[in-house]
Amino acid sequence: MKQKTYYFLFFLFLLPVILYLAIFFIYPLGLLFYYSLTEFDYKAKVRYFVGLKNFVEIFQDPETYGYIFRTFLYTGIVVFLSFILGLAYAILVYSIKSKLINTLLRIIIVTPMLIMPVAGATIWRFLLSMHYGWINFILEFFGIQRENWLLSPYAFYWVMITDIWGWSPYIFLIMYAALQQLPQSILDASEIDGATSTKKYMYVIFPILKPVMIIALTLKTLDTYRAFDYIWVMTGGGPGHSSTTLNIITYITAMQYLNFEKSSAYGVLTMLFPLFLTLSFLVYTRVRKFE
Amino acid sequence: MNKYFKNFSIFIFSILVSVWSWFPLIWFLMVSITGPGGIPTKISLPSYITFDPYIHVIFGGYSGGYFLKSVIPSILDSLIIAVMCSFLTIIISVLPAYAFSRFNFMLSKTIYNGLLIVRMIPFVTLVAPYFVMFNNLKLIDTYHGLIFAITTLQIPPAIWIMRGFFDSIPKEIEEQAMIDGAPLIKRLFLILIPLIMPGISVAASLTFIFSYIHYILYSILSRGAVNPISIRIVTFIQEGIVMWNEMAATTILSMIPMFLFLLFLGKYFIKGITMGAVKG
Amino acid sequence: MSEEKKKINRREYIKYVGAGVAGLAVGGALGYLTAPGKIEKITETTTKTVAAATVTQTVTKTFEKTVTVATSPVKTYVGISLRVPHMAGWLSQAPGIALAPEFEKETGIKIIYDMIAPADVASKQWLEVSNRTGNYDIVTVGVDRVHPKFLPYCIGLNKYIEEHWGSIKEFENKVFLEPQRSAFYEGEYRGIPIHLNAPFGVYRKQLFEDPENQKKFESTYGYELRPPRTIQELEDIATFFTKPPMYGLTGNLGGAPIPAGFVTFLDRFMSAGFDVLDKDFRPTFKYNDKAYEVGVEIARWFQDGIYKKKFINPDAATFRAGTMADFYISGMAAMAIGWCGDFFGIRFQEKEVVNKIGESGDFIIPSFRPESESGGFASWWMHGILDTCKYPDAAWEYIKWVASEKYQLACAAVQVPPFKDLAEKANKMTNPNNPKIPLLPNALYQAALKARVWFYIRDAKTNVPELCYEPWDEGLKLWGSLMANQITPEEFITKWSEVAEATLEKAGYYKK
Repeated sequence: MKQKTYYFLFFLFLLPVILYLAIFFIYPLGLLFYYSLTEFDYKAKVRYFVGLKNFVEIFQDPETYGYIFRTFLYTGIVVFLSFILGLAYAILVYSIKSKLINTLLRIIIVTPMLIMPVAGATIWRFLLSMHYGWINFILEFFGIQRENWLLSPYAFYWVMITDIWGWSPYIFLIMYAALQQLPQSILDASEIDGATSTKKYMYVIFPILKPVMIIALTLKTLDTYRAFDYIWVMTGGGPGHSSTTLNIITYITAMQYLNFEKSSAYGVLTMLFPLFLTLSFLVYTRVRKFE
Repeated sequence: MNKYFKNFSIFIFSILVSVWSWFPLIWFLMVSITGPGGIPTKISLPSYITFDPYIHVIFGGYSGGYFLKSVIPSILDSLIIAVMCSFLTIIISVLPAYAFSRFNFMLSKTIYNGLLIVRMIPFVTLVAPYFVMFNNLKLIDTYHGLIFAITTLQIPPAIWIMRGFFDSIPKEIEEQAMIDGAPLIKRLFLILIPLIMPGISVAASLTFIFSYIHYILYSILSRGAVNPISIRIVTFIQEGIVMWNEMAATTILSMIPMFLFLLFLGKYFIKGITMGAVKG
Repeated sequence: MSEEKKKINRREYIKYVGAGVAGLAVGGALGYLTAPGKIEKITETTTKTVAAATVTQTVTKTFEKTVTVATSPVKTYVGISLRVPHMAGWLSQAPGIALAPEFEKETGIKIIYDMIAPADVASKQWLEVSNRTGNYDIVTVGVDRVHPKFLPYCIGLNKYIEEHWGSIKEFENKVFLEPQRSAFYEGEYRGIPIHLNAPFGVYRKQLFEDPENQKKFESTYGYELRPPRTIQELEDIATFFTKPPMYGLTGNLGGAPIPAGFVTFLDRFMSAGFDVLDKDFRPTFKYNDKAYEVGVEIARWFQDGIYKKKFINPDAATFRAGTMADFYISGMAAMAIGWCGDFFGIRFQEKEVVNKIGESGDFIIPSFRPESESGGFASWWMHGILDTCKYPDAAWEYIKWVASEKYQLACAAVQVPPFKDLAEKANKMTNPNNPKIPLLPNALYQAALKARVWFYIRDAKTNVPELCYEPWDEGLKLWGSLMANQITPEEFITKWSEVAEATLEKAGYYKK
């Protein structure tokens, strides 16, 4: 195929997406950058340019580094555990031959994802309360003292548990679909070669699934990076700042301080930070390749 | 490994997984069939059973001195939006997914990774720009407005998922079709897309679920004419009264359409397997 | 697909990337040019005479070029609808809103409510208002955090007030003036109150009237068992009734994102006679020893109440008003202090509840400094007319109706009518659910009479709206930490002062 037709075809295929995103994403993104560089004087009702003032404010606030740290901590732990759990779900369901139980288990596993995060977080909040909550009952059974978990230093971790509970079905759906797509021939071949279950998984299935795993991981990481619903409803960023991530402070600044400009600055920061990391990583690997 | 041990451990794990996934929901189920005084505080059944919450929530009625409207229209609203979003997302995303999978040069990689940005934006930062933009375009409080907004956010994952599935189809299949003289369009629609069905149904399911449970953008872009159920559920939590029972009943009801949709899509999982078996 | 390696030469690549960057630049420029927000500041006075034999109306409008005044001598309007945002599921206003069809029939004005979820009430209205969309005609804003920002966008109502109440003085006599001051901006009142509430206490009568309890209490504490009148009595009674899982006292003490806990603190602090700022806008916690003392005392009392002396149930540290009421109704608390107004009139008088926990009485929350006659925290909401409203007269009709007896008395079971004569009337009427008690409970009435808005600084005679944003939110957060036993009362007070001072400094309050 000629190079020109090649590119033409490529861009033709991309046209609908590019058009759509140009209207509904690039333009709002432009607005976002614009807002982040302004301030709004509500008395004079004028929006005026202040350059990087919002960003300077953000970086001068010592809490910001805590927000960034907590965002990454949350993302790291939740993605890791969700992925393992989701994969385990997929392998479990895949191993079940009975179609009835298979379907039943799939429904059961997917359920937490179908509960609105607000409702799910409210349920967990109730379950974690001191006198009413079931969790304290169960923990008492294991000898752990009753505590108001969402007020303890562990509140953040309980939110992570809820998030993992709520979103590991996401990984499960993707990985299970991928497992179903495995060509039967390869599986049969490996069995003939005498591979045991574990070996089969390790050396045959996982390598084939690797591209899908990477996609699932990437998607989950980006989603968790922006995680909001569970944290907000369960702890509201508290107690104090101990569970406030970048996303939470962005929300608070917009919806509670009614300062949409500074919130846009936080939003830009939230977007640029991983971009900055990825770029530096890419540059680093490129540079290393040339050495 | 001993076969019985394997079956036994599968059994145990299934039980554990089921309990872990469902115990919060069980609590909610119990709350939904009782009244304010019957909410179980210990691990026990509610002290009395009444289906009032469901009746109030489906038909509208007074509860705690406040008049509730039926939630069924809201569920329908959410359903309409979710189905249209999945539809629109898949339609827009299939061709690009194919393009990224087959045309793999540096620029395509850049754009592909550039879609990352769409997925990295916190929703709340889109609130002000979308509000201004949609207000000027008169899209506020319309079905299509909300659909466009959510679809935007769902296109990158749909592209990625489907691209991953396109990737895992061996090139030989397509080459075979090329040798047989099939032009690109025929190749694409008659052969590849059917093979991708699990991928498409995954992308569609995820989009559906996501648009159904989303909250932030809906709350800003609707003004009373469109009432997604996710907003309705939030209004049950207030400073003065938390209507646990009605909220639980609404949540349970809202999950039914999702179950049905997913089961419906599940058919395609099976279709995809059989297709793959024939080809493989 | 062939296996050829597609090598793009560098020039072409730069071309494409350049195009992408240019596209982003264009998008950004488009955003800048088309983003609204540039409104010119013009002051213009227009006098519009509409028709013969009608009133000539002089309207002074700032910040808007075009003025449309629909003046009509007749009280009925045709074909006008007003869009009114409101908080969804607000129990206190629900009885009044349910009467809206009557208003529509009387005046011909159609009311289109937009019921917004409680969490988004402020932000949604702010987006509409700050972007001048004109989608709402009236704003519904409350004193907790929001309305200061909205005041510049609301028209001055003095003319309308004089028309309806006779004079501004008359109006100020009729309305609860202290909270109303917070609606004053640039020479005029810009809001009419629709809702007033103040914290008070409730107790379970059957526990207090039980002779066994009375004997035991008197022998232990030396005075008779009755609703508490001092903080020490409150503590004694609470301790007396505490036998876990039952507790003597509960309250809505939740921290961020719940405002209730910090409000409880502010309520006690203000009723001890202090404002949060002094006449120089400096935090009294930092610059006034007495304020510091009482602030720490109040914070310590609540914190120790949960963790050391344990007469407050631990979950109260997460309670909002609703969950506190649930706890109280379950019978696990002898007393509750906080936003009881939402429940006392209706819910606590329901047969099921009375069968379960008996009747409830009300009491005024004791002050930490009884010698001060100062009022506590007022929760106060108002309607304002936006300057983008095309029919301010019609909007005023609606607001008049909301402020009228019919609407307010319908809501009086679950809130305080924000006008003194109506409140007095409600206090004299009996509660339809329980003829033995007044429609407006005594304790709530007394508390409301004195309650005031926390950001109106008496010594400086002005509102400090900046308090409603960062300092408010930090207050909620710090209170949450205090309730989680993670910081000391001293830290709570000091940290809050720092945030308040930093915010006000940035806003230019301190002229060095």
